[in-house]
Amino acid sequence: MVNRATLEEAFILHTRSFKETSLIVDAFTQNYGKMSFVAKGAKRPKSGLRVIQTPTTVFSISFTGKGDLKTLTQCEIIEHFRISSKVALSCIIYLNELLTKTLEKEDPHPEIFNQFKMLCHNLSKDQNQESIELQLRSFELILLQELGYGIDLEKEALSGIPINVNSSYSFDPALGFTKIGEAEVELAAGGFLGKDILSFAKGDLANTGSRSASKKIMRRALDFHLGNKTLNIRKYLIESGAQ
Amino acid sequence: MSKVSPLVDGLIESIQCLPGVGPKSAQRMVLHLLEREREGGKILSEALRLALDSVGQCQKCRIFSEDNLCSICKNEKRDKEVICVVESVADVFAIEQSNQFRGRYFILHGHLSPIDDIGPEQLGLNQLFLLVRSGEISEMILATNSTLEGEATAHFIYDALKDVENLDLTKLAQGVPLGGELEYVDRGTIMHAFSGRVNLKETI
Ligand SMILES: [Zn+2]
Repeated sequence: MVNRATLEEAFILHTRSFKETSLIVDAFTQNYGKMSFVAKGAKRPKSGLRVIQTPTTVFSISFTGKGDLKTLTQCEIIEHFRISSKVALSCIIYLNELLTKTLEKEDPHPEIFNQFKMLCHNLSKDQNQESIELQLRSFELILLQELGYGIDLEKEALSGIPINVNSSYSFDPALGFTKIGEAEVELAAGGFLGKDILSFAKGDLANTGSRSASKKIMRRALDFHLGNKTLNIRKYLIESGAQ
Repeated sequence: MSKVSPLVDGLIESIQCLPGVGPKSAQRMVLHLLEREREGGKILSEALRLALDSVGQCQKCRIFSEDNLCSICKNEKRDKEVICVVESVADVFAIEQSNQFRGRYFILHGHLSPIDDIGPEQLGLNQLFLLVRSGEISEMILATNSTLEGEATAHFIYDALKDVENLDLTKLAQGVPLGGELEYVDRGTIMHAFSGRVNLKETI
């Protein structure tokens, strides 16, 4: 457990009020993973910690303290991503919830952090629905990979036989893909076409088939990993790219 | 802690539900009431009981009120057509102090926050949308906080209402605080102020 750090890069995943003028902040730090801080007096107009509520921002933070809840001592903005579209904003809210519920406290994941930073940067530029979805799916893949639950999109689970364009497959989040038949035959409920899985593997979500398959695969995989936790955003923002 | 009488201990304990009141100040308050302010204490307890028993929410704007309609909604001098959507009653008090706004309010009592499982229903958004569809609103000012969740809430409302005819949807301007020296303004605000700068030829 780390007791202090200075000038650590961090994203804020969630804040809640604490006493009259303070905040409890859940942050995702580059080198120490998810952590909770108390930001004393952060709601006071002249507090140096006040900037912590600036949305979609990379901060440089310093903290001290033993135990679960550390004390934030300093906080500066490194980079602010101006996110103006509703889709991009929904994505950030979705990602914050996803990271909050998948990351363990003080479990370092610098690769996820760097990917997340890149994704935020792209979301502030790119407003194209298809490319936003592709980036979300790629991030989800990397997230699961880094957490030790990677999905092989190119091979069958048990046999290791390459996924075939002309076959169809079932997907078990604990295992991976298993061939269930040929693609010409009507696709069984919950099944996926080999060609859609392979397009997803190549990062090509141009057609609706691969887009919808990628969404379903990742959703099943994430739900499995989340166990009894649910992503509440799915209830609220039905039409957003996060779905 | 005292441990002198169950009633005194209980009072010290329960008074700590107030924000910023720890065991020490709770003890001081209770001793003060018992030693010097019994009359005031009785008035306080009666006011507390009355308010907690009968204060609910205004049916129209969700501000705290013991009547079906609060005094702002009942006030005929206020502009019925303009409604300002805020996250908390404290925001209403702040805006009222400025004497700038003569319309009415709608209080969300929070913001969208999936992590806390707070959705449109808890914020009374269906009630807000019904109010708009009743047709008497011509402008809605989205004055949620400029935090991530506040912005998302504003976007959510905007999205649901953007196609309503004859309804202006506006948002408070953000920028350098009045009387503020640029040197002391935080970077986030400066960045926002820069990206929202106004053309002087059009404004002066
Ligand atoms: Zn009212």
